Amino acid sequence: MPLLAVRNLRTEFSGDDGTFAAVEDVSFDLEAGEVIGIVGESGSGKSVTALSILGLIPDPPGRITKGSITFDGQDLLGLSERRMRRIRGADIAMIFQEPMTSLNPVFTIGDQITETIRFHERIGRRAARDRAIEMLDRVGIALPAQRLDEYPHQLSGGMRQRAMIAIALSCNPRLLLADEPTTALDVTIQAQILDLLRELQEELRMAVVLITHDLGVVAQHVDRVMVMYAGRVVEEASVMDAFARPSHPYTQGLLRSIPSLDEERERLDAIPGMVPSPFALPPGCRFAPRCIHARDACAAMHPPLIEVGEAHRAACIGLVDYDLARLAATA
Amino acid sequence: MATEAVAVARDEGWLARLRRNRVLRRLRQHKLFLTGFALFAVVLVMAVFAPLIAPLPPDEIQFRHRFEPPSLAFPMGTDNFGRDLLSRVVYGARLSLEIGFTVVLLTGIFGTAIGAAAGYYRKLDNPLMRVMDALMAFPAILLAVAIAAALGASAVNAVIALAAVYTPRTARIVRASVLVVREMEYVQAARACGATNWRIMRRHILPNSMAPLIVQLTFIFAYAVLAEAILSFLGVGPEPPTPTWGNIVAEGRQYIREAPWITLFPGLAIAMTVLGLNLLGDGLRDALDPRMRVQQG
Repeated sequence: MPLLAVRNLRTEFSGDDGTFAAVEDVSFDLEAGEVIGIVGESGSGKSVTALSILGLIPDPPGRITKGSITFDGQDLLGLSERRMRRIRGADIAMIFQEPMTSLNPVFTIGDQITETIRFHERIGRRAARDRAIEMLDRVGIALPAQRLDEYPHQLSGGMRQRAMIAIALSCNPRLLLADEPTTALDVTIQAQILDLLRELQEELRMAVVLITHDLGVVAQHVDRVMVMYAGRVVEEASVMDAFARPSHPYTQGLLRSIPSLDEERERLDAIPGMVPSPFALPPGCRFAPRCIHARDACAAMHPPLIEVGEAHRAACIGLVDYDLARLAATA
Repeated sequence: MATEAVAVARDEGWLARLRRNRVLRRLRQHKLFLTGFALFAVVLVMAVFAPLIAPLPPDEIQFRHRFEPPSLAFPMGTDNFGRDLLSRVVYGARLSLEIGFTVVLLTGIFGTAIGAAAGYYRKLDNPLMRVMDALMAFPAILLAVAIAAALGASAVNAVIALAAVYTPRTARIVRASVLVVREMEYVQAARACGATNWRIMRRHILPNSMAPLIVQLTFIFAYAVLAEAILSFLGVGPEPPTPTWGNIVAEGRQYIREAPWITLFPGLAIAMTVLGLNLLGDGLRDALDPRMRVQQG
């Protein structure tokens, strides 16, 4: 049984302009100790997927209207807010994009780590403090006992992200949701943080959902990739397959837009056009308007995820017989 | 080496930490703040040590000395009953400040509670804030006079009236900053760690929304002192013979041609307090302004 099973998730947001699905028909499994990368542009539904898992979609305006999320055999969507709070931080933890703003400026780092520990475990002040020091040491912060009494503004961006990781991991979660954990950091720091995450993941044998828009991050740090576009999963594959045999035109486009050292090229290939507005989604395949392979049939239906290899699926009708697809669409 | 540094960091007392505090450091360099602080401190000392400072009891009547102009014996002169005006102004500081402080306390508590609830729970926002808007639609003094008149003239009722008038202003300010802080990533992060709403409110939202409130409360203190004087002047404030600056001015009004000092000195005391509190508030606003913090940090 997988640690986390997401099935046909649909998360909607409604506002004055109407209702739209930020995430639609998203399904995936995550085994204990596995690292999956969710890749996509801004607005593709990556973060909403993560927040849905933790039950942190602000309601209103958001709501999960369809699907199920099962963690360790428990249906998370059916849990009470009270039970869900026990799971947050203790079993499933999350780290965010902005280390500058994800720590409370008025409390010391130590306060914020011990707060989480003492929230989930019956443990004394001293013991919690010792654990906090241990956690800071573990995430590679020098002089942890001293840093513990410092305020967030006294730490650099990289150190703050390390502190965030220390908070997230302080209760030994089995699943970590990392939402663009390195996007706001310098490139050199990015690598350090990602290496740290990988190390800790192996050490603590936890499963990780790494959300990013950076395929370079994915290549080195995850086992499996899920590519999202406009709220839907367009391709799911092992890292090797995703890079060697990308099947969906969007994945292919993303890979072509990465600069390469081996080839000499004047310009990088960009994917033409923009992500569609969630209020004006094209009929059928959402990527069709930007796709160089688009045919009439693409507008006719949502392409389902089609097996194109072992544990490798992509949602593009270019992968099947066009006549068959057209037949299915008209039927 | 490392352990030594740790020991030093931990042994550093609260005094040393206070000395390095950015806000305090900035306040110490703010001349207007220091002026305001000094003015307010004078009034505060007057109120606290009134029995030591006042040469005579504030209600001791000496008919031989009615309407005496300021002299060495009576530095601020005497009133129509021959009461020493200095003693009355000094004792008047007590009730004026007590009223100001209680109003600040009450508006702080109710304003924070209402503003925080409205800002945090979207469903409460409209009902609560529309009631506040309705209260704010009345001119402040008029509403205070109406409430005080309805409840009867006394110090307690003046406090209730003023608190009711200033609570909506406080609630608005708290709501505005809660709306901002609520969207901060650390609030989301706390929620992702399993914190309850109450805890998020208490530990993460309120401490980070207090700066504008603190500034506003110093101004409300000033308004309350002024408004109390107005209520007393209009006869719906604390009843004589308890001296407050407002009712000393009110009583002296009829003799303003013959004995202007009766109204002048309590008036000066009011002006000094209000000016001091305003300067204090301006200084706090500058020191707590996050934009200035960035410049320095």
